[in-house]
Amino acid sequence: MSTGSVDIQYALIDGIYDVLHGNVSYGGATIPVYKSVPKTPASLYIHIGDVLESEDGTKDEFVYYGTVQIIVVDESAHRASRKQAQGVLGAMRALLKTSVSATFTTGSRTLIVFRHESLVPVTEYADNSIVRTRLIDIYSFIIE
Amino acid sequence: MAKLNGTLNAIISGSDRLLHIQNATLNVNVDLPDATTKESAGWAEHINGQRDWGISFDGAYDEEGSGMTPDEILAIIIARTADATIKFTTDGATGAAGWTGNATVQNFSLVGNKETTATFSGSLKGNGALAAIE
Repeated sequence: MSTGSVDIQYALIDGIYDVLHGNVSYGGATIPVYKSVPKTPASLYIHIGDVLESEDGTKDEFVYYGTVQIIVVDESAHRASRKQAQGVLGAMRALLKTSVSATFTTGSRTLIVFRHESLVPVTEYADNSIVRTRLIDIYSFIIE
Repeated sequence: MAKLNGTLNAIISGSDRLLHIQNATLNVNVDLPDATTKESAGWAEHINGQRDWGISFDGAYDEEGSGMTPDEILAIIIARTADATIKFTTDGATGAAGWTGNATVQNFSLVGNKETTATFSGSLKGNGALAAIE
């Protein structure tokens, strides 16, 4: 229970990172997970993106709800194939939602609800005629 | 007059504040029986009749806290507990401003939808007069 208004975004990002980091395997390789994308990222990686949140508490405590984007980025090929990115996405979702009502630890905050909301696929040309596929997976959350 | 922050509208039963509430509403009514006659020159007239009052509330379910939890509100209905002194305050938990009267918990609902926060709602029905806290 939050008796004072606090920032919950970084606790959520950290919590997602802890679940995914070193645990997302696809094709025999471990997929890197970034909280912020480095200058020279891997050609296939997961980026924990923006958090949009609002405060919606009761008269006794603060509660926060909103959405977070987790993005699978694949810029390893010259053709627009989503197969690899979708495979990584599947492995990632299985870790984040091990059961219907499952939630993970978010530091000192309590994650009440973590639910998949929607998926936005984006395909675009990158440098050197590489095709960049981004699968923007959007989750809604409620944290107290 | 300064506007009032609705968070300060609290419901107190005896000495316990109802916890985890998001919205609280005080409803006060008076019957206005028709008193129109042929001498009313075509205008409706009424007298002031019976008054009644009640309080409705809803919130996010949580069984913890020091005060009256949703579980304890439900227990009042199950035990058919008699009236309590209820205050609808305008100063939070202090209870020095607002309105008071005897009331009974009339209904309580607990809703748990898939992957959302569980919520509760209920209402109190006034038993006798409602008076301003002086």
